[in-house]
Amino acid sequence: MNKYKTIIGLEVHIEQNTESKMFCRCSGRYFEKEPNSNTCPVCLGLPGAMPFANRKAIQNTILFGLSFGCEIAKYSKFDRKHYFYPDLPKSFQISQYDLPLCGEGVCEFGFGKVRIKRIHQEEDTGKLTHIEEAGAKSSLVDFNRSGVPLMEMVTEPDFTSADDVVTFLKYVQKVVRYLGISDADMEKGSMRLEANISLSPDGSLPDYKVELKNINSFKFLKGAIEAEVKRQEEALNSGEKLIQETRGYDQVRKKTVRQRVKETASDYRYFPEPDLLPIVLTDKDIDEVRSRLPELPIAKQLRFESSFGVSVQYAELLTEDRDKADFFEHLVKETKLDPKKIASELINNKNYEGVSSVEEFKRIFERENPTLESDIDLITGIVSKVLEANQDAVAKYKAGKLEVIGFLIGQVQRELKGKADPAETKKILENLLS
Amino acid sequence: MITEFSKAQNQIKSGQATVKSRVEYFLKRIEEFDGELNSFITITGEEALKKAEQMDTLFSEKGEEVFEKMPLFGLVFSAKDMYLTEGVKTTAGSKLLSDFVPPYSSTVISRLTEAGAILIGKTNQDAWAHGSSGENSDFGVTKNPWDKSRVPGGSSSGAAVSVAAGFCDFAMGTDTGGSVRLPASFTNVVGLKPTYGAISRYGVIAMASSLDTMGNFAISSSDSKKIFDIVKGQDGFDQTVLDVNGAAPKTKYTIGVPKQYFSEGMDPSVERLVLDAIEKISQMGHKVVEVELPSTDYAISAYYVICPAEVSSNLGRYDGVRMGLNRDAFGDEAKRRIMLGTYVLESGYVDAYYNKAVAVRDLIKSEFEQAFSKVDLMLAPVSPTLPFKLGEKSNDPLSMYLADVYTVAINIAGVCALSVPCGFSDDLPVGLQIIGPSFGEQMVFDLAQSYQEATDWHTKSPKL
Amino acid sequence: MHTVTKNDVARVASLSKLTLTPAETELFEKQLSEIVTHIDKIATLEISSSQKHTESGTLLKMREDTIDELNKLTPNEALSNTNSKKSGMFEVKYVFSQTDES
Repeated sequence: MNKYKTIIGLEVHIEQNTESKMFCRCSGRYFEKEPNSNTCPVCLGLPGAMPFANRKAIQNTILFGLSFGCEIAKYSKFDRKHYFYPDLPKSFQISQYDLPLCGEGVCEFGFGKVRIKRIHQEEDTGKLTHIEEAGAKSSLVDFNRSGVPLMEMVTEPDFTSADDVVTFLKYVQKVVRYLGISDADMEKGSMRLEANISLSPDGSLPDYKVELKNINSFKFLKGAIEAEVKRQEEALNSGEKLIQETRGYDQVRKKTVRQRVKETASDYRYFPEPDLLPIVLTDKDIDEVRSRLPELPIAKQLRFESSFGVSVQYAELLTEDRDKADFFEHLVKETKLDPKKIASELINNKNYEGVSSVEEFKRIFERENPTLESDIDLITGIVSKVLEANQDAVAKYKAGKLEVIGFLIGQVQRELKGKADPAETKKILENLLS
Repeated sequence: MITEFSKAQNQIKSGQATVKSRVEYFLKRIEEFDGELNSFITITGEEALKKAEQMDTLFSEKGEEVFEKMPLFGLVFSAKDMYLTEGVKTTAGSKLLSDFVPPYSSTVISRLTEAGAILIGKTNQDAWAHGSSGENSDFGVTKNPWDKSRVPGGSSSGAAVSVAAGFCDFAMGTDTGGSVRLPASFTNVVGLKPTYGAISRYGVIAMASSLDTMGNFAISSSDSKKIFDIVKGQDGFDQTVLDVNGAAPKTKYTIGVPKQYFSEGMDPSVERLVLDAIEKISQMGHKVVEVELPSTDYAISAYYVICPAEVSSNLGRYDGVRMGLNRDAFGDEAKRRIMLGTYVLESGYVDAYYNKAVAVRDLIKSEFEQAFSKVDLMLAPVSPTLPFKLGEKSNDPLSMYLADVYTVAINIAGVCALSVPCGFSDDLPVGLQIIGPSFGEQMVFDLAQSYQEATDWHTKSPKL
Repeated sequence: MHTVTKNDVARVASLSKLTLTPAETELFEKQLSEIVTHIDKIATLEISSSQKHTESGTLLKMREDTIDELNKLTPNEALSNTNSKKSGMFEVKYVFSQTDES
């Protein structure tokens, strides 16, 4: 049994999928483009160039904040964060220091509350690759990504296990995809995680934290956090003193490894970005963004469970992404089939992959359920038999418990191995019971 | 009013001159006299002549309508080497950028060119616009054409001299703390410091982003106005630019004289000429009253915190990777300002210096607003001294900084001002500063024009 | 009253990525001290910035999310002012990645 309490706080960077970059009119899509083919004087940091803020990116960050219940600041501003690094063309990153766009928020999960400390707007850096030729190492810089809008979410240290972190991050990913503001793809780097991990013997916040970085897949996330927790536990057990450091994950050895920290200044010398106006929002500005807020995955999942009788597990899978959920609801409305049947077809049958129209769905459904029985005489015969055998239910129905009809339909389906036309069956039942 | 611009354009219209002959005339003058004055870093003679020929062809085809479509048709200008010019070397006066050929042009240069003006060259300046004398250039000092043993004022030293010495019709400079007005005053030309946010800074090498303004030099204030009207307004690249129609000209102005601008340590001959000019303007029928700008004393201190802080940030991008040489190529003054700026932004000092300076800026702004609620315009000296000797202050940065005592507060307040020639002492020119509220340029130009109509100081030119 | 020490100069130079000679360090220590002494007169003022919110609705002053190819640089233009390039990228001395996989 673990005698220490695990304390984890997260910093999540999410790259937006806007058409253009944060502060210039270069394309926001840089993936697999020819190096340095997606730049302009602004994002290349040439002399004389200055930023011009992208309204959509700001609105997206507000939307992200609203979906986590964050307070949206009426007055926020951009600041320059200074450090020298070859992938940072201006020698400062435009970020937000003391007045972030989104303030505190809170989100409930099965494992408990997660408090959001802040969400702010910033810009991405260029990308480095490293080469070695004749024993000499050097780094190459591509600025195609420079200036792509980034959102940084910082949570309070509210996580106590790797599982909770995974649950939360999957939810974050789902939300931004619902909002349509990012692909949030960890492999591609459009969602990046830093986990600050420490172990406490008494529940109070320890005086160190280990920054776990550069985990670029959900696959390794759980293992990485658990490996780090284990390492710290062993260290504490052997009386070792843990220190503040940055570590990465070695996927092969399944261990965290100490990382060289970038050799940059410890003092970022923040000051307000003079080239940009402060972000001063009216209630109308915020309401306009709020009106774009879709039904969020948690709410949708609960509604699917209660309105359609779909299981928790199915509801979760159906609400995994917004298109899937919308299509499911559309099918329920258009086909009049049993929602649970639709759900199980969609989830368990590979033949529906890529299907996006009702007609297509119906075609496959009929192919997959070829002998859907609609012979009224045959069904009527079965129904009579079922009523005979379930006098209790008939009595309840007659006493006004109309919902037992579901049970009776189920009994008919059992007789017909699930092939009875549910609408027809229901009609016949209702006739015979009235 | 007959202005230098209309004179020049009338010569073209009447056939007395062609655009090409004017460019040739200026190139010859530059060749003859600029060897000693050193006002240019790069001369774009070939391109200018080619462009001039095209314009002469255009005029012969289209006739006088070209002057309506292109208000600056046939006029020749120079630009401080802070203005990016596509395909033309742009150095900021520093050897760090001695081979930098920008792939794009600044908004101001594009607008002037579209309006028919022809660029004849890029002018010398204090490196990175750090300085008040023009001596801090990696391309040699620029000399004052009125007395070649003296400084022309800086940092837009070459731009001012190029107009004063008759090398072009007008020049573009930048004014962050006085860098247009001071050299205008020292060389007997008109120099505009526009309202912050009136003209896009896009494509101009940044010194201090919250203070930089795109000024111009001309012989007459109505020419300066013509340039301003062409280059002002939003461009979609500089978010701080506003399209504002400021106060319109009046027949009679109430004019304030801030008593803090006549402090001890001012050269008595400068004071006498400025007071004479104020008297003259009062005689022209305007009402002159005393006003207070009590925090003037703190302006230099606040300026030398905010400016270096932004300098340290803006010069970070020069690391020798994407352009230019590495950081060792910075001169002493750039290094000094970068380090001072870094110091005042460090977490241990940011409250004592940077945040305090921002508070002083708020205070100065509100004092200017208060003053302008009582008066339309203000009058003050530009410089406390006459043009000083070359080398006199170059080893004493603090005394050099103090030369900006009457100009920096205008940048801090973000308002506009114009330096206009108001007389000579010992054959050295002195400028009068006409200060207007935010976007009050049209009133400033109007008063300056009537003052120039009533005086002839600006018609005097130096013997080269 | 703050004075600028040799240590301050060294620290600030390193933060600014400037390499100073001993002579420069000495000169700047003296000159920066003089300047800091002068600007110190605002350090003691008892005022603070009001951070005025006079402007409102600044979202309107931001730009639409659209692409403009006109301002874009070709890879050749982007690399036109550097001497250290390789495979269409800027080449620098080896540094450790901050966000990428090392």
